[in-house]
Amino acid sequence: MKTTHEVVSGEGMMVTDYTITFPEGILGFPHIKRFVILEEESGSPLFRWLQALDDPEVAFVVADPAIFMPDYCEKIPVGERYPVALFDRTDGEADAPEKQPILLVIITVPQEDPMKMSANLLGPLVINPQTRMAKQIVLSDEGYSSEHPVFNLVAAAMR
Amino acid sequence: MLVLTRKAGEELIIADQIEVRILGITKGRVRLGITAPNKMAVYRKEIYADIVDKNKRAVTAKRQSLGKVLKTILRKEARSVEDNP
Repeated sequence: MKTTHEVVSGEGMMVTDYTITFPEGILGFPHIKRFVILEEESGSPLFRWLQALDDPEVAFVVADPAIFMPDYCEKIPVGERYPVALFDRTDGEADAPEKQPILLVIITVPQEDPMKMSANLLGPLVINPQTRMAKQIVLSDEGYSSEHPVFNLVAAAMR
Repeated sequence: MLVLTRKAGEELIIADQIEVRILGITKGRVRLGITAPNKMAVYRKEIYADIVDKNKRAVTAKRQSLGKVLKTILRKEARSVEDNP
């Protein structure tokens, strides 16, 4: 089996960030814990790849949810946005900008019909930028869709 | 599966640390109050299953250049607009 680095270097991708660890994995993938963020050298800046380090076959397309819903992050209750598994809220500077969570959402792009691409706004990924630990949370507000259609927004942003 | 009968107001305790209280029973619905350590995630099962399903579908997409896919679609769209003004 090729390593992730070999697979990725042949595809015009570059590693843009540090290793992110999901101690509990991503839901449905509990055994895959270490990921890197990749950017396509000639690709759209809207999307990045969350690539598993230990399994080249596992990669998710991820995006900043603010593209699809500008106030998405602010609307998530603080208790959910700062999972206790990742953040120590007893720290007096817990809300300092450099300590705020980074949120990403997973994009599904059906191969047979990429125009039906959707964003999972119900189960965002939360990253602690300081510890580089992350977790997929499930929002308690059932108003969010796990299949929010995004093609039109993406197309508009690319034009 | 362990099957127990409980009345409103009664509780269960699981593994010494998870408490489940039957808050009320009305019109075919049961309201539960769950007390568990902060790190233990509690989900409605159908929502949990939905997220797992979406994650699995998201990952099965072949890692092709998304930028190229999108540009191709947009080019096709633009062309069809030119053809049918």
